[in-house]
Amino acid sequence: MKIVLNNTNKELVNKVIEYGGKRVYECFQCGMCASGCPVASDTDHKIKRTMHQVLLGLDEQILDKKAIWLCTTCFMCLERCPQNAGPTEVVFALRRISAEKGIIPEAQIEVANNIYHLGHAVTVQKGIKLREKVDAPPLTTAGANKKYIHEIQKIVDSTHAGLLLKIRKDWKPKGDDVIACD
Amino acid sequence: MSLHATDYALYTGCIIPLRYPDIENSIRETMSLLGVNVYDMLGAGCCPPGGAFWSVEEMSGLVQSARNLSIAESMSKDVMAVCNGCFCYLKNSNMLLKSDQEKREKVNTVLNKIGRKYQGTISVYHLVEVLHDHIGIEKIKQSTKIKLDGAKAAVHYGCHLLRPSDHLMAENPEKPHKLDALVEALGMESVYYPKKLSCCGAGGGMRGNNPDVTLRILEKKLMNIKYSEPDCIVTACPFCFLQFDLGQKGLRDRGEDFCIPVFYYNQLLGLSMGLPKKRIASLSETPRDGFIKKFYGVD
Repeated sequence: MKIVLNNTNKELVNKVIEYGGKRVYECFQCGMCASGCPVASDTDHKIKRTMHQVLLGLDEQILDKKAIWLCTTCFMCLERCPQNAGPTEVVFALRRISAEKGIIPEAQIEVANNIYHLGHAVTVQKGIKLREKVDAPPLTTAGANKKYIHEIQKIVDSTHAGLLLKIRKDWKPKGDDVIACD
Repeated sequence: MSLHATDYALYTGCIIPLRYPDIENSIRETMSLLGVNVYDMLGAGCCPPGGAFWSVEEMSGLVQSARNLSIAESMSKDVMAVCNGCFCYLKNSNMLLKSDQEKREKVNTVLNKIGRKYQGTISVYHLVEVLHDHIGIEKIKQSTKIKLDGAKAAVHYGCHLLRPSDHLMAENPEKPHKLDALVEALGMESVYYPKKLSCCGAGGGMRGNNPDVTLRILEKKLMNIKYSEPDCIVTACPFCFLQFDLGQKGLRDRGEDFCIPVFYYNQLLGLSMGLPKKRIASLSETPRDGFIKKFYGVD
């Protein structure tokens, strides 16, 4: 049987290497990564397949499906890969490539805006009320003082992340739910 | 070994100070009773986590971590992280910046704009390492007044305390034992359950992006935990804690029967030391009062 691959992007693998997936070439498709993956059986994120797609240059299949954003970053695949090919690092690299194309989920945008405007991944006012309820000492972290938040804004503004994460000056937090973290 | 084994810069992160400040109280008060001084890191921001900044650009994650590390450096104290995510990303950044001069220079060019500098003079530890390696099991045993004899705990390590192990070096990634030992120091039995090292399903942006999947992963984890019929779940990560606490409520709202009490380790340690429940273990959506009454005799 002859298989013909159309629309492959030969540059994808080099870009993945440049963006942090340095050892992607080491993958020999054993499947150890998927065997410990907590999301493999419940989502379209199939890490073994993703590694193969990178090597074949199938960037549209990877980026359009958005499945790379379903990785919980548990690092089990990276820990157990017998080739040390760093599958989680490949996912991070693909997320960075995806973000450059403007493909990024809402939760990432929301948590980044929280951090940029409040100094924390979650809203602060609810936290201050809870602290009073349990007699916790006054908050002293970034969320307690605008001067610290301005420091964070200044250093984030020195990177490309503001653009990639769609950080907006007129942003208002959506609510007090904890949306995304480690 | 640490700079001063009894002095740490307390990096609280986001979830503990702003959603579960009772956990923060439990850490401050138990550490004090164990003779360890923790100092506030004034102005510390989000670590930041892998789900957001690291996922789009390495430098944006590094500069924020470096800012946090520089705060601890200015205090001449090692960092004690009390969240797995914070521990993983702060320790990883610290190692990267210590070993890569080019990255360090780039980061310092940015930090210079806010009058800060990363120097690479401190280390990052997880609370579990401080308790187990620096304080020691014997001292913890001696500090408790109430023994939890007969109580069974399902220990959940969480991902970012263990992996990637070549960076974190906090535990044996396939056979960790420190949190189990700490739990057993309280008199409890740490029970076996299948896939103990698997993810709770919260991280990487999953909880925010896909509520259905996050609950499905949690449900599998809880089914494995239920296998050993524990009296409670114990973790030392606030995001895992949140996932077990709010996630079980989410599953109950869908008509499923999951109601296992969840504790951050220092909450149980504090209760065993005789500290009051209101300050150290009163905020949760999944009820814990039954456990506290049964094993501590406190209403």
